[in-house]
Amino acid sequence: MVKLKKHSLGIVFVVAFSVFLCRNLFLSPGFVEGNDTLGWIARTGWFSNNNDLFYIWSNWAFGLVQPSSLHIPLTMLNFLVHDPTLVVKIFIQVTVLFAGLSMYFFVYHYTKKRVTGLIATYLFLLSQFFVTRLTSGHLYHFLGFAMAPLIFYTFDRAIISGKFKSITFFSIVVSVVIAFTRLDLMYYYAPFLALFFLFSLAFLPEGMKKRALLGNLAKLAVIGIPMILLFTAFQFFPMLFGVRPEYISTQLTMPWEELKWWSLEFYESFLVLAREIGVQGWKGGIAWDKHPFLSLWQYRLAMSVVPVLAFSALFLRREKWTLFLAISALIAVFLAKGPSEPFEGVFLWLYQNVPFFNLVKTPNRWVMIAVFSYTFLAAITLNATYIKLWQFRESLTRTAKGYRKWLGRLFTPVPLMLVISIMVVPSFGSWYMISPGLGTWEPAEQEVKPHLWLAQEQGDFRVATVPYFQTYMYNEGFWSNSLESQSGGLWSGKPVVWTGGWKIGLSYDFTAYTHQLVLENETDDLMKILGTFDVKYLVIQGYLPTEMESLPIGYDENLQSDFFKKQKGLKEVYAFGDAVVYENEFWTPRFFSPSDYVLIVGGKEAYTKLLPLAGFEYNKYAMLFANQIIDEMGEKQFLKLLEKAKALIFLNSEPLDLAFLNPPMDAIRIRSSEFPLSSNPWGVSKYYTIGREKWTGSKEWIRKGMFVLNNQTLSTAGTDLISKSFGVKAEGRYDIWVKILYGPGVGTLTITIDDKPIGEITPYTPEYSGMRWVKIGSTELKEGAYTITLQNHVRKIDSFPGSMDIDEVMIVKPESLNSRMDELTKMLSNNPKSIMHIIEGDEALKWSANPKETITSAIPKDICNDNQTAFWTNFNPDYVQLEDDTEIKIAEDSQNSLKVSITPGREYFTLLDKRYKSFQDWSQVNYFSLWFKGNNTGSTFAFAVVFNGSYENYVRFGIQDNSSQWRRLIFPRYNPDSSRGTIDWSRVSAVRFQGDDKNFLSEFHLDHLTRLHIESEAGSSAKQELSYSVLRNANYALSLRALTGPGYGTLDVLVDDESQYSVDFDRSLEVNATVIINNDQTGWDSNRPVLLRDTNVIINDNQRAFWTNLNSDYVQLENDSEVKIAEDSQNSLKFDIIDPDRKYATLLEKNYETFQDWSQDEYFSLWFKGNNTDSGFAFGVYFNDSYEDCVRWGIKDSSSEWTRHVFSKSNPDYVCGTVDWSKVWRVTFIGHDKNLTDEFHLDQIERAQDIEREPEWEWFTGQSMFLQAGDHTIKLQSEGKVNFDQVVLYVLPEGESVEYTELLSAEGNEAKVTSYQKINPTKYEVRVNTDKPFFLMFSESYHAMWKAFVDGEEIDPIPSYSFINGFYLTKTGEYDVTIEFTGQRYLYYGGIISIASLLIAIAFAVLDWRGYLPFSRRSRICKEADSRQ
Amino acid sequence: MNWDILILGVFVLFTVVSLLLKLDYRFAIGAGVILLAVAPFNIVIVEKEIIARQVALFSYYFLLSGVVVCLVSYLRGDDV
Repeated sequence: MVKLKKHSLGIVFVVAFSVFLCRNLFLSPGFVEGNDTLGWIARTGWFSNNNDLFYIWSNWAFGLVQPSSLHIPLTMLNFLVHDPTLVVKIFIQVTVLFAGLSMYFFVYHYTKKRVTGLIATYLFLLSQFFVTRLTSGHLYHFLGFAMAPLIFYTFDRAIISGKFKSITFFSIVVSVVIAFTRLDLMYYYAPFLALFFLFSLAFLPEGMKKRALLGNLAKLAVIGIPMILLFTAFQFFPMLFGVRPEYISTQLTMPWEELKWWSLEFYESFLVLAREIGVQGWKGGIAWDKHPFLSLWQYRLAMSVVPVLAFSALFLRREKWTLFLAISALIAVFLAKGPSEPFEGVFLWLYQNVPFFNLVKTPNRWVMIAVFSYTFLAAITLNATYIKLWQFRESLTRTAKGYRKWLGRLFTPVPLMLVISIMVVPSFGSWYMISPGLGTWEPAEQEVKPHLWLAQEQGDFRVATVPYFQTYMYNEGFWSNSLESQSGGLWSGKPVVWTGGWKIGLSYDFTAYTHQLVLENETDDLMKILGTFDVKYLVIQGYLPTEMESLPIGYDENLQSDFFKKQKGLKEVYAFGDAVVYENEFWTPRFFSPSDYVLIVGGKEAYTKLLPLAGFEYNKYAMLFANQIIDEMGEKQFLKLLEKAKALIFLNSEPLDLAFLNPPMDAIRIRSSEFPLSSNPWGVSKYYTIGREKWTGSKEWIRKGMFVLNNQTLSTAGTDLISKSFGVKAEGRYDIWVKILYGPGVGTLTITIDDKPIGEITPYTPEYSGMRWVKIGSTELKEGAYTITLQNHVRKIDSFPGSMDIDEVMIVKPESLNSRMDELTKMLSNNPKSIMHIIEGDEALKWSANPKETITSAIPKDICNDNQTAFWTNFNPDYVQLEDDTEIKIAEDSQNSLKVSITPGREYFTLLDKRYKSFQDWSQVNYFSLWFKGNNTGSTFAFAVVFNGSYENYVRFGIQDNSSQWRRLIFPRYNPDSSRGTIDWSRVSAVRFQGDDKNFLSEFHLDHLTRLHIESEAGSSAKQELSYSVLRNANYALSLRALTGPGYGTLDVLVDDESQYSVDFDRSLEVNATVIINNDQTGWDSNRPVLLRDTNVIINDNQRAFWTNLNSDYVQLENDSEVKIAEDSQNSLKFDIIDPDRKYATLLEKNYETFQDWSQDEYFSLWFKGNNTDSGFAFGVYFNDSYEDCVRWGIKDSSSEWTRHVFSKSNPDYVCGTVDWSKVWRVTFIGHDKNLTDEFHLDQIERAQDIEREPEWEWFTGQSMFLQAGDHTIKLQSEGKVNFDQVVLYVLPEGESVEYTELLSAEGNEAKVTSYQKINPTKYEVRVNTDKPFFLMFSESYHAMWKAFVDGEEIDPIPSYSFINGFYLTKTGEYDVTIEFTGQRYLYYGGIISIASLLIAIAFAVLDWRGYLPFSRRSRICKEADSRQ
Repeated sequence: MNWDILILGVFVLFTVVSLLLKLDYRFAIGAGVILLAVAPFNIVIVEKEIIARQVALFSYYFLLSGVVVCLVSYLRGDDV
């Protein structure tokens, strides 16, 4: 107690600081602010509620391995507190106290100076790195960093004393860091502990010999390391047997851009600025390069104070700790800058060559060692400065006389004031965050209520939420874990579909693919897809996406909610405010049993591409992907599965793809991830961090569902080279194959082996057409080591992007490949029954492209150059000023640019609009080019192209105003940032320039808008010849799915130059067709099956004023704003016939004052919503001021949905008198049954000069033909407009003629999951009943350690649907299956070892302390005493 | 020649000379500390952040050199 009393100032300071920092936390029940903090609260709640704390498999999202971490102590505390939010608050408060006190006593221990300890504690707690652990919610780093003093202290004790209890103490401290913070955290400390030992050798304590110290180190190694391994066995043991999260892998590396992103430049690292402070920039403007009230130089100066003081300590002390800490700080600074200059290569070398170095994924975190060192050293200097100043004052007052003595007295407060002043300055780096204290927040009620409602729903199911694929939400000035990701489960207790924080793994890839479907508006069957995997509810949270990854820049903010609202199978079940919960009618429980399965050589695009097959349903046909099966289980298992498969489907792939999935033995396979520093584990999107100037890993094509063999492609859009060494074991001639992406805007790839050119390719096709294996060249190779180099060249054509994407490289002997193909032919000769080759329209291009073809020229065509004020229409004339600027322009010979000045408060997002009088055919345009000069405001603009005269059909390209220079922006037509509605490049009706915010003030310039036509040798000819091969000698049929409609042409299909069949796609329009429109208002755009051209509205809104009611006593008219055809329509006309026996059949009439000339119009369109009464109505038009001259078209009330009726002038139902369309004077709406009473609606009546039928997809199948295994040519010769999306070549069963649509017709489902019970997250009991072998699907993320047990027999899982577990069960009848995650057993074994070893160690330490052990100190003293006696 | 290597070479030479001539390590530490302290002023005086960065780098090299010389001089028992 007495000892502690002298430290009361230090203790009081630490307590006061922690109370000050955390003061808000306990005054409010809200969550703690900080990016990841809500995640910790949610996890604590989750593990407490479900009582699954000690299970290594967690049911979060689609399930994942959850190693032990901070959540264990937090959850254990929650068992006492029962409030996860309070638990996290207590943890933060206690850890701040612990950090402060441990630093204080650590420094005091080594300096014996309390003031030094106090100053060090102050600097440590106020360091930007420490504080940002909290603001970013990195609680495990927070704890790990707080333990730094204890780690070094216990290590020092262990190596100096060599005592068992010291070693045990150190081992426990390290074990806590490993087990309860994060595994890789110890990696930051380990090299510095080694360095500390070297310093201890150099600066031996008095009386200690080197040998003794080395002996102690040996003791530490022999006792301590095993002890740590034993204590943390529950962590290591499962990992040793492969039960680890996918992010813990030495195989994963990060591309250098990503490493750079997670580090700061050298100077900032030297000043120990924290990378994570970046998120604070959102809150009030503090980051590493900006400060709320200091200029940059002042900010840098303030942050220089601590390092200047720290290194000044070397003037004062030259001993072990000072030198060790100084040199540690310098090393840590160098590492923390990551791959930044100078000597960026050193970090990259370490990253690639030092074992486990690549576990460290955030280089900036190395500054924690520098911060620790700086604070210790700076405290020494400050204390010494204070002492020196005080001594100076003493010398003055003691020896001086007269005025000097008075001067000395006046000097009294100076030392303290000076020291305090110096200490205040560094706090500017974090005080901005500390002064308001850690904040709290509470989510809006409507964000929580849906999840509370879900909590009441019984059963086992998952939830999907919108915003979709969002990890963080921007929330009242800071970022936090998004409510709709893992945190939704905090209230509902149900797993929520989310990205998974680490953005890696099979279920992440699946979720990313579904997110891409949302962004590209690719399907209306997403709920069918998600429903297959236990997603029973969808919650639309009622707030817009805020994160770039969820909704990249340039996308419509309502895109996600609009997309989900139009998805099939959703039924609203709960609403609160703007939040809505929908039930998914396609929900399939966690366990299900498809009746059959197909094996697919293709990518996840199969989810949408197989749906057009009649009878195909996800939960009836299991989808197994060949590359996954072969990679995971080998070809033998694949062939076994092939025997029973319903079909082998090559989806946009060819037999060569299958051959290379298991390449010949002597082939050399180089995967994209094997190239150095090319891995991209985060799957960071193009919208986020990754520049594409260098070769790097990319997930872009995997997200789009393309057939990519690896978990990334090797991609670049710059002129860059990358090399990889490989070994050759057998001499011979080798072919070099590359699986490469075909598409527009590509570069040229050249390949060399040991500087010898092998070949080059420009894989150009006018549209993206997927990946294909291409032979680049051949070379002779002898046994030995070689280096293959891939070089991409960006072509010199005007601003051509020059991208290149590679999946794999294969170096193989031609004879080996031939025999492999023969082997495959033999293997597939009988099984499976059906082989299908599905080639999509665009994907076909890659089989028709000549690998050697090159792009010849880019032809720019002006859209707008000079005099732009005349070109554009100003949408907000009161807020936007347009001016032709002759001063600021892109070139001297240019006359002017367009200066646009905008002020806040605009009505429209669109700033400029150009509407063409006739449709423009831009189908040959590949790029748009626009010169833009902004003001570096950070605002976002967009260039949009509109189609078909409807502003609901558009593509949009985003523009960031992040420079004040002229920039030429290139927009690839085929890759817009967002799109909506029907895209038809042959019918461009307008272009627009838009701003994403109506309230920003800006001034910018535009110039020279052009479109670039890229012409190639391949062109877009009407004749396409595909080179394609098949694997089986058999009868085949060829089907294709194409658009049919008016004006479509014909297609001749020839296989091996033998005419197969000719198809006519032209379909005339049958008018007077009644067109049923989905009553769902959002269906207005997408389901409209007819298109009106050159329309004139007769009446739309306010029809009450338009019509005259002829039976006013019997019929009530009303403008109805609730029931209407579209959201942007104001109202419809409700006419309520309240009484029968009315006088006139005519219900409504409109008499024009003058004759209307409707002679140019050919069609009329009218919207009617009846009540399915079967009554007859009619629309009539009268001529020549006469009731005797008329035409009428009948309407039958056969539906209660909105129905669109289209009438042709040339085909009326009734004609009387003389028809003169130039003299229309009256229109009427007639109800034939005068006794009818009911309520009806009318909306929007239009005239149109022309009408088109919306094209429809149809299947066509040709005659059967016999094909030999091998190469064939398929020629497609079109006349006129032809648009087909799938060509299917399929094997016909012997003697049968099968229509394509019947191939996968579903058979009865003989297997049934009767019931299942969840024992715990790692164990389920399932009851099945089957009369044939079947796949039991378990929709939890695939892991090889999930096993099924039937009568004691262990059955391995098969990766199914790309990411879940499928168990092929052969037993028939009704029986129980146990599904168990066997990795849990290793946790049990490890846990037993950990507990036992900890108990033994404690017992040993106690026995040692009590002197009961022969080697214990007390025992030795007693023995010595005995011997003396 | 690569600028980074040239600068590093100069500092390595400086360190070797300091060790050979038994120069006081505090010269290097002093230079490093002063350069680090004045580096921010370059942002406002010459209005070039890149100069500040370069000065900070020189500071780093001086400090590294000083620490190495200090350590070696301690190990060989030089009086300071």
